[in-house]
Amino acid sequence: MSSEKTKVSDVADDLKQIYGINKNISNSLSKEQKKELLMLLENNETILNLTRSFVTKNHELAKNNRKFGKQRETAKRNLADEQGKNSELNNQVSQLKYELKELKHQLINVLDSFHEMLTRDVLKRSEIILFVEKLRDSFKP
Amino acid sequence: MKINQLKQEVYRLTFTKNTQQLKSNRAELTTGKDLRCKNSWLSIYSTFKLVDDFQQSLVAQDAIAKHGFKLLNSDSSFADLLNNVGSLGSFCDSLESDINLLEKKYGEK
Repeated sequence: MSSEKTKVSDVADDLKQIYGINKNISNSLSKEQKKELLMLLENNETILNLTRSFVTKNHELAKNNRKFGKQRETAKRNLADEQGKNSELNNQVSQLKYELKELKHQLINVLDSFHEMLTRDVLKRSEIILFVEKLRDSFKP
Repeated sequence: MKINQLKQEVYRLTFTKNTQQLKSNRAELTTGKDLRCKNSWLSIYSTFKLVDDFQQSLVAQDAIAKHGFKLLNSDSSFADLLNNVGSLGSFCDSLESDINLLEKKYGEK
């Protein structure tokens, strides 16, 4: 049994070493089919050329798979980076939005108080001028 | 509020344009919710409003602490009023500087 297994394994090894047919491909063949394939490859040039063509193509596909795999991993990392940046930017924009809202709120408070002082007639002319100047200066670039 | 109004409010508050973008950008608000139902939108809106109001109050406290605003009422003096005018300037400068930093960090290179 063990010797039989070794023999089958030898055929699969030959297929791999001589013709480049990977074991995960030759495994789909029965013991007899492996032997038959080996014989065909030794004696039939068309089968040999076709097999070589498959093996070459298989190598190309494997190479492409590795390349695309790497590209996909890079794209995934870039996407994660972008999503992180996007989320951070959204948070900072939200913060600015709140700050702007609060600035407007404080400005309205100041104007309301000024209006209230004007209506109570408690401000001197010089104070009104000072207020307007200071308010204008506050928003000067 | 109708479901469409709720949706528009949620989009506005979350800086999103549509449901797809909301799901992608704010998954924490949408996960496990059936967005065909009005109740789901109402729940998202209420949650967001609650968080928004809380953040707004933090910003207000921060602005008062950082820029020295005083509470103005009918007993406030002219000096208090001028103090708050000065604080407005400081707050405005800080906001402008934050925007410049953001532009520098995320602006087109």
